[in-house]
Amino acid sequence: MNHMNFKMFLRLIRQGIRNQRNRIAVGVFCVFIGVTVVSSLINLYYDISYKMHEELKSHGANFFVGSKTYSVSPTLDQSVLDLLIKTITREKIVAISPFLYGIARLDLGNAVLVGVDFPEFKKLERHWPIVGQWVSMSFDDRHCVVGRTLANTMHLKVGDSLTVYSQDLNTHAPLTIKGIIETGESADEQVFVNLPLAQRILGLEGKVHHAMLRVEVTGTEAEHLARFLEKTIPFIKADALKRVSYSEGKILESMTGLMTLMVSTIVVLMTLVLMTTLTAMTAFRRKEIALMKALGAKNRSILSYFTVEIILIVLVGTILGIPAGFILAQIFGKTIFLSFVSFRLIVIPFTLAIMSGTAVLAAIIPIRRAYRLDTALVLKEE
Amino acid sequence: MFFRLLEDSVLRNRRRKVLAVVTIAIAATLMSVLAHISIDIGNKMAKELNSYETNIRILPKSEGVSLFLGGVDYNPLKGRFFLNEKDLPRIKGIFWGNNIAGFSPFLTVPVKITGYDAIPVPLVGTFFQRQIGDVDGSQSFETGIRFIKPYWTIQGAWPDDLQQNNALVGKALADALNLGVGQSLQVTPDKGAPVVLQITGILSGDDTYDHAVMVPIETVQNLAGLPDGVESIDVSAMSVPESALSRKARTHPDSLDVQEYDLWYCTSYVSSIAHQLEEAIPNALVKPVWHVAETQGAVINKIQLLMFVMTLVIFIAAGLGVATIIQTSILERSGEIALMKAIGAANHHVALLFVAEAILLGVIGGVCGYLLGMGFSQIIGFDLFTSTIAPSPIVGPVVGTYAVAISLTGTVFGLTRIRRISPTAALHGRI
Amino acid sequence: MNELILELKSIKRCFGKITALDDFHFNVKPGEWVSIMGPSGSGKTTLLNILACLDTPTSGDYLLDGINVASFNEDQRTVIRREKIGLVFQQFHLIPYLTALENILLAQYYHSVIDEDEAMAVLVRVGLEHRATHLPSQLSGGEQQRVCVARALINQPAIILADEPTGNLDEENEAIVLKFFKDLHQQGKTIILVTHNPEIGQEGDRIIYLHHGKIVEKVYF
Repeated sequence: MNHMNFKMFLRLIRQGIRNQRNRIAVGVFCVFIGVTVVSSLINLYYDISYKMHEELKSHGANFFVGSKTYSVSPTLDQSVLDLLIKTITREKIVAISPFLYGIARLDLGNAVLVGVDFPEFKKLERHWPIVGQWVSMSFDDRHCVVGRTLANTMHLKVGDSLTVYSQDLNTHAPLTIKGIIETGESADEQVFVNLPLAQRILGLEGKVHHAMLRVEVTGTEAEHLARFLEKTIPFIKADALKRVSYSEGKILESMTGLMTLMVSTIVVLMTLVLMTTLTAMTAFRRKEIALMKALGAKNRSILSYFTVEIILIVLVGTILGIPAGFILAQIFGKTIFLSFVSFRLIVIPFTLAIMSGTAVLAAIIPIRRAYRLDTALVLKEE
Repeated sequence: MFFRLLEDSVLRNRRRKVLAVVTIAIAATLMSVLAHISIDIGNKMAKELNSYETNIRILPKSEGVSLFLGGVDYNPLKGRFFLNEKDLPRIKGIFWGNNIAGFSPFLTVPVKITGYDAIPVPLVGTFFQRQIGDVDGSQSFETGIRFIKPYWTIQGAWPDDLQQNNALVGKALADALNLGVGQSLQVTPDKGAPVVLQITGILSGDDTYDHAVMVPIETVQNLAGLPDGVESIDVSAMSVPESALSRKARTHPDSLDVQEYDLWYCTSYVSSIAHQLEEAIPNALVKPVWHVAETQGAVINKIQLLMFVMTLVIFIAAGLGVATIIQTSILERSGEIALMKAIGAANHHVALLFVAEAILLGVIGGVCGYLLGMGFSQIIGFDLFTSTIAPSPIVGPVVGTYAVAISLTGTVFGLTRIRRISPTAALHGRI
Repeated sequence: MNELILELKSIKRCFGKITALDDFHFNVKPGEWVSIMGPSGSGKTTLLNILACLDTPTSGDYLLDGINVASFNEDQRTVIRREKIGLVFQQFHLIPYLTALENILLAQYYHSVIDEDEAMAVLVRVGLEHRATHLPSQLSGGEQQRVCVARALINQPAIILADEPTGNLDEENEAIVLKFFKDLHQQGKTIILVTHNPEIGQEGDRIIYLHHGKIVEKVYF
């Protein structure tokens, strides 16, 4: 094609866009909607596993570390916690709490006393319903949290005083009940205090029985970490809690499976809707195509003209749609996961690929059909 | 006459109509797939998730408080209350009986292992895998600890419930005492004669039972002299996440009016299932395991929310696409419209025709889309859950309404354009 | 040396069971104006479509300017349309988003090379140079048709085929367009024109009447 004719080609396109603004606007609008939806879903899809991991972090402990010794209530030195933190590295630990158990005496009978690090313990048991409040500081030795069953049996309520005594009655601590928890587990019958106080009452200063942790690991990583910890700290026994990793694994699996299918279904169908819309818009211009044919235009020439126009429409719609899609993804993220979705670069090539394919097909299909039609018939149509 | 016109209008230019119907059908397919999945997904997911962990615990109403340390209860057994093994079938008999995925009873006594007398070890009696007859004896139900602890790994084999000396040993205990599969183990309770057990398997995967020995419940019942005695029952039930209503029922049960109570009772909240179990089993105190119930609930909520939000957005987006096609087709038929007006049709005649056509196309597209969507949903359901998704009766009408609605919306927006077309254009061959 | 610019020999065109044209013979000399008339369904349009290379005959020969185009395929016919034929339709077909000038350039574009001066010149010939930058929606029916005629001329076709060119025009515009065809005739262009209007038909050198796909009458002037 020579220089003048190329200019004519450009002129055709320019005039087509300038003088048929309605049609072009509608086309761009449709592409825009399609791209917004598709790109937001792709963005969400690639962010979902990250989001789910964040969600699962609040599901409680996934690691247990105890003493390797086999004896009656074997203890570990308190320093093992710092050792764990150092070995696993602070960033990977979401929460870590020591546990020390023993039987203490209360005014109305015996009960199991549990020493924990309250702020960390609360992170691990976020989902326990509590009447009243958790103890907020780890150095607070004036308050305790008790289990519902214990509270009911001993007729205790929030704000009541409770004195705990050591077995030999030599040590005691007056406490106020700050909260009552309901768990459905053995905690319902226990009294929770901060570790230092428990150590004093139980006569186990500087000791802990075990630690529970929430570590940021996935699937098999957890097992490897447990083995690594046992190797590095020989006197401990480390366990990645299978019941936790099992159910979390299932959750992630079904979530991912669900997302994959939903997203691919939606992407496929939205693309089809978009394609049929664009195809229809081109198909509705059959008279134009027939006229060009009647004037002696080569098929290739007609095709290239329509294709370029559609590509332009798709390009503009896509450029507008991707940022809009990102915003939509944020809406999804904020509504469902209460957090922002980060932009996944893969959205761009993915969306462009889908759109290009759609554009080309939307141009080719109606035109191919138009070729085969009787030009004269089309021109005679109402 | 009107219907003749309609018929003509629809049958002519089938190409254009096909395109419009196809788009509507696709949008409708999308909607019906999403609708099917989102309605059923909540149930399916709950089923999947709930079967992984115990979320309800049944305990006897007791006066005392247990003192569990290292898996051993330091409170003397005498003077404490027990549940009756014969009451177990009642579990499946409650209103939400079908939601009970599995359960297992427990009875534990501390024993000493011969050769390691210093350390008490919990001897846990339970069901491994048994058939439980229904309340009226009609159907039986298989359950046991195998069904509620899918994350356990057994090296060796599961004990046979009918062999009272079969035992499972926790890995930590096995490692510490160098016990292996096939070995025999002698245990002595606080009061009574020693019993020899045969280790069939070593259990790993559960910190709770890592240092325990598990046997069929009869073994412990005999040792403790408590025939049919049960200390606790772990239940895994399919439940829906907590809501404001269920929280109200939990904290202020007396403030519920009759309607609210009925609604709560008839919804499978973990708390209402627990309530029903308490009603069914004599002397029982039933508690939801909140850690499990709440975390599962949070996940299910997220999933349902995700589906809902996505569905809403698609609803709008697909609808817009279809409306566009219809708009464009109206544009193209302006010649036809001008002609109709030229021969005397008033605006509302033409409008009526187009609206009727829109409804017809909407219905056709909607039906096709619904059927296709059903097909799709089944494939998806099969893929995700290897089971079919129950077609909910509500999806049909909703999808149908949706298809017609978007078809009409597109048309309605074109009505102003229809009004603007002048008949004179037709008379002069102009468009 | 062929004296005829156009020759149809034993042309037959069937549409399924319906035979629109049967054993049709038709010759045109260069510079002739032939009017084709007849009732609807007589085969006028079919004939015109074959002549315009928009349609292929079921059997027979069609020699146009010495070339037998009867069995040409789509692509070949497209070339012939470009090179040899100028078409004017009853419904003035213009690209709605191109100006009058650009609509003419389009025909040049498909033919060979655009030449704005040439296109302008032909617009002048139809008296529409002052409408060059207007869109079809801004032109009257008659003006639109004149642009079509101008477009039909731009590539200097061997024959001009017109299907009821004044069918959609009012009296005034009809007169203008008719005058234009007469001018073209005087300039020696070959014109084949389908019409149902006897007054227009009579402007030609001869009229052929079609009935059921056959020539039933020929009138010479």
